[in-house]
Amino acid sequence: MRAIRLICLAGVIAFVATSLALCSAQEPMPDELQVRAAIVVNLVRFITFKSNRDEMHGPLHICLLGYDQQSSALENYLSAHSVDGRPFQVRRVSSSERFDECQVLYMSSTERHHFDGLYASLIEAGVLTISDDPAFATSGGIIGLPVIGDRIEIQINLACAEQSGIAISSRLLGVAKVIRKVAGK
Amino acid sequence: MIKSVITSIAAIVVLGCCSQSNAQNGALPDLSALNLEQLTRIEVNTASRRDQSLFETPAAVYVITHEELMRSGATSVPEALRMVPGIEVAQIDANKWAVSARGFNSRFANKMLIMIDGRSIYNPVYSGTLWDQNDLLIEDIDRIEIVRGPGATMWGANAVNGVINIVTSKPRASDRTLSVLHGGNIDEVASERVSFASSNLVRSRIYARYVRHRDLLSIDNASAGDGGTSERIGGRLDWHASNRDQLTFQANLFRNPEQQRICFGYSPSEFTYSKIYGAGGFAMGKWERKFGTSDLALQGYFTDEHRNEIGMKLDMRVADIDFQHHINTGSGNDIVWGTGFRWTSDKVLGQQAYFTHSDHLVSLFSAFMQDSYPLLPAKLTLTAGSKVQWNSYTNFEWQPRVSLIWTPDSTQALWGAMSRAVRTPSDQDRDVQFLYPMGEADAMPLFGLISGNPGLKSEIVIAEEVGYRRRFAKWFSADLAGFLNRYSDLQATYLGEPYLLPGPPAGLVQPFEYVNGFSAHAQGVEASIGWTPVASVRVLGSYAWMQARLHKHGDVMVQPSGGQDWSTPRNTFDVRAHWSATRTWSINAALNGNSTVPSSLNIPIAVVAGHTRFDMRVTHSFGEGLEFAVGGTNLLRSSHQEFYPEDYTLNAFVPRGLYLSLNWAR
Repeated sequence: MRAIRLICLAGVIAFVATSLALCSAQEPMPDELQVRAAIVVNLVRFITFKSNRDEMHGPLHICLLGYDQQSSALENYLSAHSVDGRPFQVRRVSSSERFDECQVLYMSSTERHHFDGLYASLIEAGVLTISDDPAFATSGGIIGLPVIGDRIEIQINLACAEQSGIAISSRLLGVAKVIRKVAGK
Repeated sequence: MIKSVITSIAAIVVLGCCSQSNAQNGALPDLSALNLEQLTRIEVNTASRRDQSLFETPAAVYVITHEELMRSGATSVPEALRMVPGIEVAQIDANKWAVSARGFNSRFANKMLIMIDGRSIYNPVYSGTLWDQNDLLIEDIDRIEIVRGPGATMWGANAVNGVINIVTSKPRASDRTLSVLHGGNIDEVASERVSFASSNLVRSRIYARYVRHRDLLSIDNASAGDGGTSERIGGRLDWHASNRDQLTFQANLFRNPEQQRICFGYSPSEFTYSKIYGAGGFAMGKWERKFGTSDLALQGYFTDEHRNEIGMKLDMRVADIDFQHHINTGSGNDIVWGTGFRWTSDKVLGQQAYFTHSDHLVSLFSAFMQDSYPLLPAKLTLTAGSKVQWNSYTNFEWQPRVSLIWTPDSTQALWGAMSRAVRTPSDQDRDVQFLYPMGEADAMPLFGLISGNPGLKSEIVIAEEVGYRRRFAKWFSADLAGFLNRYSDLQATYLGEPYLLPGPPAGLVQPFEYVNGFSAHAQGVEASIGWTPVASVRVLGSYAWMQARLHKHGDVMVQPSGGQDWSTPRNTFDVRAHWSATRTWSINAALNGNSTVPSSLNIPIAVVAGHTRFDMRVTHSFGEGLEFAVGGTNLLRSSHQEFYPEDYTLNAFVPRGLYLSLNWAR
């Protein structure tokens, strides 16, 4: 028993000794919700909406469906930022509304059960749909922003974007994971 | 075996060092200055999302975060639990703790379910948690979730008074090789953790931890001879197999050689030293899959444990498999259902203490379903569900819960719940035979004989709870909960007629038999606050008041048996503050205490006076991940008693403690 204890201690000492050479500082980690909000602000630069959906000037209309911490973080972040001089106009919507006024619809993952029912009208209205739901881009949404590993991944369903008449710049596609599967809707 | 594992760990150390990820320095980056590519490369902290779901939970929940755990300087989980309102924590001796929520505290607090990453560490043979055998690397704990009150609907039997789930962190890209050295007059800790990542999708770590608990004090300030060590190695691997699939594997091996002072017959001066030896390990796998509107989890684990205490040798194997499915239907119903099997096979051998059946094979089958339905969307939610369990001893048990939560806005929540939960009898309750000397009577040796009872039924609680929590501002939040618990069929010891044991030497035997002998009414309130007066100061406060009345069933000669007594102070409080004085210096201070711990044992040492503890810790960060701390525990008094000898273990006195610790992440 004494021998096993000594071996264990020797093991611990070995760990310390072998890893002495490497040094690096710990970094503070930004909050998931804030990073995702920053990604949303950034990515709309690379979107070209249907011609009848964007006056190219004036505010960008962002609708938020569902109440959770992400939507609150987005609301705060968007109201303090703009894209190329265009401010964001943020509006809370409910699932029973029409989305004609929305260029972007951010769906909280708590609202995912509503998506199937809204899918057709969103495509028709040419709304850019975004959600943090991990299965969003594979089940008919245009942009999914799930946490994969410990980073946020941008997932884009190109087929759905095309159906909605939304063009996505190749610069955005370059940093995103493209989902080629066409949702069976 | 241990040797080969250590050799392989040493080999992996080298690999781990080679796979260190890029170092980044400094404070939080300005997100608006980053481009998309940079944003997708940032490692993110997902904690705030979890806080929200806890805020909306219709139960008395409390979470100790990783940060709070590290600041406390705790070297064990029970120590950290002192900060939780409504949790009674008492150190019995150097290696033993009594931890319970809402009363009935004991070393074998048998109405508390403790889990690590969803793996139950409740010992089904002795009913209760052996904290010494379930030590873990404190630095790997992501959070400790505490639910006070019944959690049986989701978690199953024995979650009568509360559930504690210790959640270890996922291996992350930012994890460094970590070395921890801690030394003081109470305990010494040496831990090493090595993390390595073969890609963004596969991450793993391995660790080794050695803890030496020094002897505490006896009543006359001499050494209590109750020290011991805890040695363990283990690891975890997480594989993000696909967008939808996450796989986790964990395993560990441990051994715990310890000593304790034991005495029988309530004469603490006549103690003897007795060795304890525990060893074992576990392996566990978990698969989680996400679908469009649902997710499922499948988990299995196997544990193999050995324990030798007071000459009773236990060998226990547990195999458990659990399936859980969570589905969000279009109609607003949020349904969780699941099913599980558990096989426990154990062998208990002993002489002075033994079991009438040495071998047991106990099967347990369970199924549960719970549905949350928004009566008013985002405002009022009704949750109802039940667990149905079948076990080899008491057959079917049902454990339902109904709750209602009202969240008028995102800053406040009012909830109420009613539930039923059971504590099923253990092998020991049914089978134990324990003959021990109790002194003398009528000039003859007197022996006590504790006998198990195979006819025991489950203990039952019907619990009613209400709670209110509110975030008054970003810098101040409060949580209040109240409960009324009605227990029936609580286990007691029946004092039988003494009889003559034919010699030689002749003696008198006082039989004690376990029966379902009393009921109880318990009520209490628990409050906690979180306050951030200025950005650099965080204050946490908690207070609990509770009491119980125990009623005997009829006019039988019963008394609460060891481990079945209320043993819970009426008042418990904890106030702690953390001050980040400068970028490199921080101070943590905690003041906590409780009033008298009541006991139905009528002996002087069973009277545990109230006490107040003051702990303090000063931390200095040298940068480069190197942190140094100096701390003191129990600074107000030279020593104090926290619990009484409820069974054969003689309690020790906790002395003032001083320590230095070094934490190096690189």
